Amino acid sequence: MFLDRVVFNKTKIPALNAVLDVTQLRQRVISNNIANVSTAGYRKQDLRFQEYLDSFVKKPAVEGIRTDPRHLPVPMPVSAPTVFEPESGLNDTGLNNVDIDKEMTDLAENHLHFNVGARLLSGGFDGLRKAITGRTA
Amino acid sequence: MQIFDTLDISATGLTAQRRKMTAIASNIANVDTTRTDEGGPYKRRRMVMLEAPKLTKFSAMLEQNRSRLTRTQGGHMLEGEPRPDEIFTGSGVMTQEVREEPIKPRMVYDPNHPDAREDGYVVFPDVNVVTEMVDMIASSRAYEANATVLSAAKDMINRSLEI
Repeated sequence: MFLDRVVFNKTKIPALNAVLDVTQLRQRVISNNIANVSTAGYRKQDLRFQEYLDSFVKKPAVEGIRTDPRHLPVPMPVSAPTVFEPESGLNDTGLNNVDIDKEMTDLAENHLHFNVGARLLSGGFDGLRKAITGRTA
Repeated sequence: MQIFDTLDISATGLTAQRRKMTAIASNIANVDTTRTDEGGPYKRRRMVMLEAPKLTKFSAMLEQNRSRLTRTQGGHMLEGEPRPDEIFTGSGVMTQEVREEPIKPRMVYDPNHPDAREDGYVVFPDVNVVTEMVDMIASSRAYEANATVLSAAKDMINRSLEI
């Protein structure tokens, strides 16, 4: 939709949307690690997402205009966040490589990230509303 | 919905630790049990934790196999990577109960005991109360960790309602 492109896509909203998506998924990965804290032989998972978030902030050097839907996009779309198993040989418990302190820290950090994203997003919507109606709240 | 899946994962963790706690309680309660339905002294209950299978939901599998563009030739390129919410991570933990065969049962010489063997010894269950206590503390801490994750997830859901 044209209106979407002009009103929403030129603001920070798509980037913040991605932040919420990513933190949401990360929360899932962390909860899975913590749920499996006493599973023998479990391998911890992590999320690779930095590239994906960067793609919303960094402008590409060259951007191709697609006049036909069959054109390949330039630059190629960045891969979505992927779940991977980090190479961590640390196995203190003798059960698995889940470090509960690290997971709880990641959880707190992720929680704050989400809150920051959500707060900024409401700020973004407030700004739009102000611009449309010409008055606050 | 993805946002509530987090709660499900934490819930499986809570269930697993609670079941482990039940097994520990049963072990400690039966530390002196010499008679059971299946005969012989009580056998120690142990909860084995298993990682829940990664692909359990039909929708996730369908989502993974469905491509938005039709590829009529093997040489065609894929349309693109899946969106973040289509990625499927693990889905928590499962438990399985095992009755341990006694390795070194506690032997007590008490010829007057009704379950004494012919040589006067009574076979007590192979349950070590200290081991059970240590397991209990570990399990209760793991339960707390899962509860913390659950409350963080709840907080995030509430926060997203305020956007």
